[in-house]
Amino acid sequence: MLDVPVTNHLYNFLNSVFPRLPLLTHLTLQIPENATVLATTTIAEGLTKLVKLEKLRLQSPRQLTLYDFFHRYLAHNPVKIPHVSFEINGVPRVTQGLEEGFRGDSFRWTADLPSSFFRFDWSSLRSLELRGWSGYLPWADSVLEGLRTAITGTGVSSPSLSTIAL
Amino acid sequence: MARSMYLWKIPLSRLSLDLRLAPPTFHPQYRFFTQIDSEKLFDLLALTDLHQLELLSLDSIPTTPARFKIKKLKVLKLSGSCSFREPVFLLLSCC
Repeated sequence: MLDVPVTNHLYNFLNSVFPRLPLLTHLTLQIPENATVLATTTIAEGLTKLVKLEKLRLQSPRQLTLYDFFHRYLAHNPVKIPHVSFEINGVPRVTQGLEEGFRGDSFRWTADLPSSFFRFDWSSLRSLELRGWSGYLPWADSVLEGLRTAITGTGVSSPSLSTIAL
Repeated sequence: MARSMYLWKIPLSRLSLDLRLAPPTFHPQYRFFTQIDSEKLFDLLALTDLHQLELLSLDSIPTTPARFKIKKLKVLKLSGSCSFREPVFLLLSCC
């Protein structure tokens, strides 16, 4: 288990450590708001060397910094995508993970995320948690349209014939 | 009107939602779940193999469609600020 900050002056040192930890399973990265593109891109690529990584916690004061970082990491095609949690000021906002080939995701809504981020992949979701704002849930259209399409629309597996009221 | 159509199985087995229902004009920018949305959601959930459904932050028991049934549901968790006693009794007596 390793818990480290990503700093603009020591990111190369951190990146040089990753290849020496091939058995690391749990990693927490604190990414400051002022992290440079060079620092985050280097670390995101270096993370792919942690082939045994099971849990990745990304912490930052800003949500978009975390997603930006994670998408950079995914762009380097890691061998195995770990269970990931995005934490803002210590509060988990989004967790995503795979278990037995299916996803278990959890989302806590905040206004600073683009709505395009919240596309739920119903064809692989086994468990989904959605937390809104003061109990009000903001994903009405993406949940309803996505679920309807997954059940009645695009092919996922062998369909079964049913009668439904329309 | 009822008609036959093909349905695809989705792997969803657990769904946990905040479901405090908002009035339609609740927020100018975001589409929060309303009563109508929740009824549409229940219609769709009835077509799934959901095992566990958790509805949180309820300030009222949402209206369900007539003869609403999720066939494989084993666990139903309801929580929120509303009084559950009579609505849940009615809900269960309808099953």
